Amino acid sequence: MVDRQSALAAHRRPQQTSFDGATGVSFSEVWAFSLVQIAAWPETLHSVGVTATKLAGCDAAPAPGRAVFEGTRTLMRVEPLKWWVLSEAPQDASSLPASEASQGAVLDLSHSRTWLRVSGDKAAPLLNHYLPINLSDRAFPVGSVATTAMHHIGVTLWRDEDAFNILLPRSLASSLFELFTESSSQYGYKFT
Amino acid sequence: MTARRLDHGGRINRAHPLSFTFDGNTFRGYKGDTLASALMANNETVLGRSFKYHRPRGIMSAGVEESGAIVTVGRDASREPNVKAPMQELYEGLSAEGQNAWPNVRFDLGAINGLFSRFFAAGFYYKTFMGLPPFEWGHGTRLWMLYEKLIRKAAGMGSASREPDPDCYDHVHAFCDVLVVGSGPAGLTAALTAAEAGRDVILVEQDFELGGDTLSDPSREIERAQLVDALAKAGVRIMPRTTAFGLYDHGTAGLLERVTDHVADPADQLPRQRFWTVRSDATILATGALERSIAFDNNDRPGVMTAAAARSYLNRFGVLPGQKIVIATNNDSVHHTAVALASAGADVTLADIRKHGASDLPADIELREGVAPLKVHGRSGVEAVAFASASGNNWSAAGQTDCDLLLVSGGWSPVVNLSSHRGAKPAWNAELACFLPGLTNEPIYHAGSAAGIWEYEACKASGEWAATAALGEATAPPQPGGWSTPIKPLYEVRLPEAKTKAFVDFQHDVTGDDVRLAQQEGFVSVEHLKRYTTLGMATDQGKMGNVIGLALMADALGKDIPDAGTTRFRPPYTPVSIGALAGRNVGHHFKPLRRTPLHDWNLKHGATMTEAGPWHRPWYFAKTGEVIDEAYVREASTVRKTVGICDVSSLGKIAVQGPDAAEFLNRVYSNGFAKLPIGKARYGIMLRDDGFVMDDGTTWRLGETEFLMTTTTTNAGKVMVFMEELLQTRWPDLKVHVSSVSDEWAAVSVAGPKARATIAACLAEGEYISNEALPFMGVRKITLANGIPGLIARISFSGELAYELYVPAGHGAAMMDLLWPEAERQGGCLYGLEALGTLRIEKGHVTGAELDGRVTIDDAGLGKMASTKKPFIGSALRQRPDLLRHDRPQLVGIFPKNPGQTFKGGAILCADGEVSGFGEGWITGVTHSPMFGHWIGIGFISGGHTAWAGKTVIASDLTRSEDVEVEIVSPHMYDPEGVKMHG
Amino acid sequence: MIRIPCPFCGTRDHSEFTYGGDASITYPALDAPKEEWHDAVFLRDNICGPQLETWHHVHGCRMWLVIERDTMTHEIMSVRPANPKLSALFEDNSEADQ
Repeated sequence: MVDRQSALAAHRRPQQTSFDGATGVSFSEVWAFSLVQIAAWPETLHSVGVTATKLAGCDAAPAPGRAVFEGTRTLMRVEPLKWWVLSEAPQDASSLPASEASQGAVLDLSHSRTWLRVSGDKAAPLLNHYLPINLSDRAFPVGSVATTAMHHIGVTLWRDEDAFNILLPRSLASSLFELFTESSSQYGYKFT
Repeated sequence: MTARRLDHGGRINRAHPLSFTFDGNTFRGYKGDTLASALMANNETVLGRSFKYHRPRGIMSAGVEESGAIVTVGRDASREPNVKAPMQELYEGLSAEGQNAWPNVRFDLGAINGLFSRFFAAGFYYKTFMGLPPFEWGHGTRLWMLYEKLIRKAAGMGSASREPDPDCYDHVHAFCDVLVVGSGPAGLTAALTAAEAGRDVILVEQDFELGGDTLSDPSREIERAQLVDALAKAGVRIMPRTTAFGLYDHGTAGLLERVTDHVADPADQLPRQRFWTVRSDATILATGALERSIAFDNNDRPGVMTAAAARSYLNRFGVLPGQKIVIATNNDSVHHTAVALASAGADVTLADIRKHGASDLPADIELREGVAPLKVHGRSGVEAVAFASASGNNWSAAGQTDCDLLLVSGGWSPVVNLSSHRGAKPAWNAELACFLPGLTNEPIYHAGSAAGIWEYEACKASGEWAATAALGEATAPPQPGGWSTPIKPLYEVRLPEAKTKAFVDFQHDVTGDDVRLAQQEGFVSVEHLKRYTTLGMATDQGKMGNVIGLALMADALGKDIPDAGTTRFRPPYTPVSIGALAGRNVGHHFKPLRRTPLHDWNLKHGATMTEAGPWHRPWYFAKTGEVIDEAYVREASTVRKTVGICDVSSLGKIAVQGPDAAEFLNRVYSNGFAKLPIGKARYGIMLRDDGFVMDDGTTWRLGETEFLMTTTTTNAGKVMVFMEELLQTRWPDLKVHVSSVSDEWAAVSVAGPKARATIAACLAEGEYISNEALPFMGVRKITLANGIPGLIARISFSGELAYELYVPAGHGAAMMDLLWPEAERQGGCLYGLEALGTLRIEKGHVTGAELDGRVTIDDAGLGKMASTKKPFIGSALRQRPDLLRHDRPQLVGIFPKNPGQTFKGGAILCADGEVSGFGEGWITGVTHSPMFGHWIGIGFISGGHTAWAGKTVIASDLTRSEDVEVEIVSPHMYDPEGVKMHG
Repeated sequence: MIRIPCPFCGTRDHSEFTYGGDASITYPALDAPKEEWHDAVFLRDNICGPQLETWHHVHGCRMWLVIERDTMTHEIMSVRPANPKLSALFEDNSEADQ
């Protein structure tokens, strides 16, 4: 099977600029990943949460605005009735759990997003050029998730031990990434 | 005025001299100077010309209220007009110019306006455009249109560059517990108190140094430096050169940070300014107070300044503003200023309107009590000041003194703008003769002079109070005041019935006489006073003149100031550049660009792109030397004869899932969907609640409870939002989930007689798409030869044998690399939106150009799709009698009578001989038709094509071309039976 | 520049939301007479003061919300999910917002 193409292909040459001798922001892309949405009905929220947890290989389902990490998998509750299971390895469509309509609905969204990681001591200031979310350690600690707007576009943001992660709609990824890098030149940045 | 730099003193860095130019002349200053202090040090006195009368003006203050030294800074594309010289930090090579004068501010021919000053009185804009004043000559003619152009040219102060802004600007979002505005003693104390209590604090200061008033008081320097140091250690985020320009709902503040306006050669990577949006739980306003002047004859001459400003120029910048100085006051605040100026070597006379006001003055300061300034003598500078004393209600002349600098203190006005933005109506305090901040339920607290507290230690204490209040501990706020002798309210000095040029609003040249004139002419509301005289409408927004104007108006009306009312302050507090408000949303980032997964592939294969909403889509694929008209005709013909491939990835795609999905679709579509078989697609029309068509698309049934809905590109978001609204607000019992998958799939349409053969050659082993394996409107999963999994649907928009092929977006290019060589081998082409338009117009298929929100399902000729067996969204209101009339405009095709002629989309269709009004219809789309060999169009006409059979219709296009005779035909112009699709 | 406390996401800027319409309207059944639909679709009160509105957290959790807001002061008095089943979910769990 052929390789998946990145929406940031046009930007895919290693870039590095520094300002005042510093590189404050590092960008990297997670290319091929699997994103599965598991949706419940109000009546089946808890049982579907268990299903989602199993699929992600985690112990417990996260609360709203939280994510749990298990190896290369992340489980997020992005809407009141929807879970996202994110895995840093592409999965076969056939490995998706079967949708049992009375329980909920499963949907493969693996190609709809571009996954960007943003790290460095200027990562939060850079993201705050666009995201109206309090990213301080106190307000947005590791494991926090937020679906919010950037330039009138919906994006999903979460924080793990090493970086901020952001899922951008694939069709807008290039345009938004350009905004990120233009605003990062004042901090020095690299894209690997 | 004979100002000079002293050889010691001030906070400037004398080891770091700077050179700058003003009106082409080079001067010297120091790091730490403002443009005003440096010009003053060089004894440059005339720096501007007033708005209407072109009177010479000089430095009047040391702050944002500056109304005289207003200059243009910078050159070419970076020039910025209307800069207040005291607010411009000096840097090496700064270039500034005077404004509103020709040839220059020192000698301005515009001063001739002064001779006609009686025609420029209040309301002159209104009166002048009735007819020439004073008798309205030419009233009722259009004479005013002749001189309007001249007036327009002369209007305005500085002129802006016409070139694109070369700088970039940033937006930033920030959050904190406490936002403190102002870094005087109250602000510094408030910020430190809050920070030491563990709160996250942001402190903003519009100046480049922290300290506020204490920057002009050397005796406070040690304490100031200690406070600033403690703040940094306590983790306060300190933002100098940043103005809080507005307060908004729910604890939001707008800040403007000047990043490089003080830098000679800024780095390219830095934005010029940043517009911050801060959300804070509590806001402390330690914004200080501004000193007022007094209205008296010629109070605008260069050399007349507010008193505290002189102290600032002396103590902060080491400049002695004059040699023979008169200080006129009605309050205690001038004492330190008088003493400091005298110690620096000037001759100082203190004129206090109060008796026994000033005390403990050193012997070398002359004191005159009971007098106020009446008139300034001198033209481009102060030569003498005449005094008056009050006897009863009138003034009478009281002698004169030579001087070169007149300092005036008419009182202090707390800066209440920011809380006023929130609707807190300022309250007049008669004892202190000023407005104090109004009451509010929001967590906004005033500290220091902004709360009418005048004395240093009391300011610090009030800062501490404000911080504890912000932390939620309610205690009684400190009392305003702090002068030992009360102020004596004083707004204007003039002899009875004297005609004076006593300015109230310096920037707009509004005088005391103008205020009285407005009142005489019946403009007695403060809102009318403002707009009729333009008082308070200049770039200072009334900082110097509002209170005086109000007092004069109240006096003319025989009322007290609080009864006269106030206008409401609105953001911004000081001007904000449009660039900062735009941020990076300029040029190609004005709106985000959506690219399909095939974007780069299309460009590589010769596509010329066009905008379709936020998307770029291929418009046409020109072969070498082809122009667009040749390309699209070739593409459309090739599709009809052979095969073409078109990128349709931008269409909206929504996954509709759940046990009630079929029922839900049945309610939102006008036609039936409940019984759509699995593996079939169906074209559907959605109406709005009001019965008009909202969108059209096809929905595919992939499983019992799985559907894929497609919508038009432009309406994808709207449809998704409507469906979520229905499910959550009206039908919460339905178990349906809708999720956007627009970006999940790359999609192409493969259309033409060779479409089946082309696709079949690209499928994996064992995949078949014969007519039986995949009948018309069939849908199923498919795998391509290179292993890519996808969906295939036999749907036709072009009217040819056609398929839509969907693969996961990341495999889109790989799919094209498989499909295109095969299509090329078959003699096919790639086609874009232009050819797509041709094909669909030939078939009479509707798009957003027809379904524009004013059209019903019957108007579009699709009435058969409105089910009579079930109700649906819009089914009730679509039955309104007016929407069912047969004479409504209906979808038709349009042929030119003379096949060589063309017509444009947007042309109006009129009955022959009745080309007028709105006509009978309009044209929505046009194209050259390869199938007919001539131009065709699609559009609407009342009654539809049967009402116009055999009649001549005129396509009329008033603004663009000549009238064309046309014939109205059925919209299904080509292959009306749809034979080719079913092949 | 209002900030809205979304029951799922916490307090967020208005830029994440779009205004829906009048939350005091109950839409009739699809087969109800067109006169009833006319009233539901077109007739609105013009209120100065607190009113019930629907808002859509379109750039967040995509919940439709019923908000009581003062049209004069913009004060927000209450926010709840429009879908009563979600309302119930938030009440009986400790689904507290962030």
